[in-house]
Amino acid sequence: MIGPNFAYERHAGFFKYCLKILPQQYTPTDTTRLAIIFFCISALDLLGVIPNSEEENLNPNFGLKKVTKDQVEKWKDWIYETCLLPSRAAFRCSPALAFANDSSSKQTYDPGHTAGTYFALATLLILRDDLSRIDRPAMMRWLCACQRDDGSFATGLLETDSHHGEFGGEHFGEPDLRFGYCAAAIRWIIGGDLLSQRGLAPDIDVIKARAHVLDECVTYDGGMGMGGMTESHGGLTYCGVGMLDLLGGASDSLGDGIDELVRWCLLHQTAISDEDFSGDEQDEDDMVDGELLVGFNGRFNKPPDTCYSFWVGGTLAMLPLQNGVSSLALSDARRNVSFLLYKTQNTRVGGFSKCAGHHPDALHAYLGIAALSLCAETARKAGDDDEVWELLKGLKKLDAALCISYDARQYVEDLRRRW
Amino acid sequence: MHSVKRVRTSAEAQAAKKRKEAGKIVEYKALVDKVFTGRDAGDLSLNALHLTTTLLKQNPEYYTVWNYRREILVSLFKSLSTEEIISTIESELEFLFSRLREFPKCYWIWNHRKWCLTTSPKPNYKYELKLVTLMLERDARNFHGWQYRRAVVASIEKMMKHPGALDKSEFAYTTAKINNNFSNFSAWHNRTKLIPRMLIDDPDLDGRELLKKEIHLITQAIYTDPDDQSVWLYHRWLVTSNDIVKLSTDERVELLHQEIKSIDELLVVEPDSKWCLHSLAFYKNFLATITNSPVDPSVLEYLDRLAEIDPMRRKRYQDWKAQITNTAD
Repeated sequence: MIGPNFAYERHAGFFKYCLKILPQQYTPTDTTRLAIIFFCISALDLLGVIPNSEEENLNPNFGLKKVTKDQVEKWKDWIYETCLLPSRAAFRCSPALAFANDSSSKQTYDPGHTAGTYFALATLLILRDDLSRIDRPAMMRWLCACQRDDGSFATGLLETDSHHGEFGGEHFGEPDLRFGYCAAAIRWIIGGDLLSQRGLAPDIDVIKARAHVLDECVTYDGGMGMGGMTESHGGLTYCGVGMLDLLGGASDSLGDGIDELVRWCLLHQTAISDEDFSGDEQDEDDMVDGELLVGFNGRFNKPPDTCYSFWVGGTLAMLPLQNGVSSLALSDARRNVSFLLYKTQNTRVGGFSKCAGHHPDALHAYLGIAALSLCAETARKAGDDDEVWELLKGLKKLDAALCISYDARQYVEDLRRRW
Repeated sequence: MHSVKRVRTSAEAQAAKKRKEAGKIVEYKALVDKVFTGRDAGDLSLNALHLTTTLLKQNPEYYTVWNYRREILVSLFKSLSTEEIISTIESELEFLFSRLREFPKCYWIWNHRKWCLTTSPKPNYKYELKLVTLMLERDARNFHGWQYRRAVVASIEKMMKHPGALDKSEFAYTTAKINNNFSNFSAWHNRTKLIPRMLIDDPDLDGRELLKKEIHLITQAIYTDPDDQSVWLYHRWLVTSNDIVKLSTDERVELLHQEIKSIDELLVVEPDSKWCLHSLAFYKNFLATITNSPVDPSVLEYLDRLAEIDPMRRKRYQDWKAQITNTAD
């Protein structure tokens, strides 16, 4: 048997609950609250529970109760009211960072945040907002200011006494491909490339941004890291490839490098028993019914972790084979589905955990579901695994590059055509 | 997001836990309010510092509070002597060490530590190197640990006004880690970064000699630990990369033949070693590419064997095989 059923209803309940209240262990995530919100709302979208105009095109949603349209409006308003900065050019990552109106300190401690802005925009799209409340050209100007000389992107800008002009100051945050990915996503979502073509806003330095990924972040083993001397990492590889994809196509930028990346990604498939882990994860049975369970890890010689089924699987989904099919088709989707459903799915309270024996959390729950959606689509296209398709066909198709439903991506494509 | 282990609890215990949670949320919010009210009022006192300590203990990811803490420290320093500043920063570093033990992967803690060192009139980088060595003993793969180590090394080199001064000792550090455990991917990875730097910084270093020594080392590792990914990935880098030495085609071909022979011998002893088979397939394929000759038919056999013994990657081996046979046609 491929696995226990995918617990649609439990998972929908889990995300709805998370949007209401989170236990104390989530305290450190308070400053990135929009991330959690995005995970929950996008998950509900994949589960077919967010009402939108494509309802007729949804896969059967197994009778799940939809969120009301009124709730959708409330969510949109909340995001704008608590997180959009007065400049309307960026979002903060959480209302926890919105401070009282004190002109001397406000900007320094309450800057726009590239990840927060991506999460806000992505969530608004899922809720079918037309983004008219943001100032798109101003957002592009802010984004350009966030780009460093080496082509990478900062988390945001801390205004200093010596800064002049609309957006300026010190770049802050880790030098990290995650922010480059968010920047590329923001630019595409708000039609920044189109605005700059029409002379309505500056564009980021795309050539430098690409060069930074390809020249600085690719490591000797064929994956991508943060640059400098850092190791390759599944999450960062996803961000690097996603960035290239959103800046104008991964294939064109990578050329022959695609084969190396595919090889790297597939080496990250790992059966639990293969691992010699020094971590605290216990050694539960790695076989069920004699079948090996296969997850993905994020770095070599580490145990499998739910979220890498998305980070690495999603990377493969963006890399086409010679025949045009995504190289995710070369992975063992079936065994990956088994791993997720048997080992990390929580059928009691819903959600997925990082690994067996841990509590489920919003991030791993969303990315587990996103990965399952990719597996379902792979099975459907290949036509060689009805079981996988039958188990998961209630999930909406996912767009790997933006990590939102394909429908939500189509909605952005429409917006871009209209702008 | 960092994971939390599950522990079985009864229904009553869970209800009690929920009540406690609700209380904690109220407490936490009150603390946050207090801290930021103080900030808005321009409170840069010692008391304000203590408040931030309490809050940061609960939530080290609250980076704004670290910013505020630095503001307070800078203000307090104005009325302290140099010795007192050094001593205050030392206490700060002790506080940070306790935080790191609980949250070894929190960027903002490492970041504040860096600030302390760049602000201190007398930073003790040798101690920092010891500290990060200890952290890496605890978790050899801690990403932040390795990055911080490199930042400390760079700071020491800057103070010595000699970039690359510590390359060789850092290289020796990776050697020690590897000799302790061949499957330390992070150590091998760092080696791939250190070797090119060493070769640039020391023109007397012979690239070919170094390559020879590395091949010798990795061969031991492969024979000891043929199932480990990291040793084979390093081996591949040594054999195919121009980052160490730009070998001529003839030299590269010779090296490939040598290593293929070596792995063939290992395969006799370990006939089901997927890494032996994978590497042989790859190197023979690579050899064919650089000599512009047809791929050895043994490669196709290896790929068939691999599809059997490494079923999760079966489709990849089949695709690879198809690529070879299509090119041949």
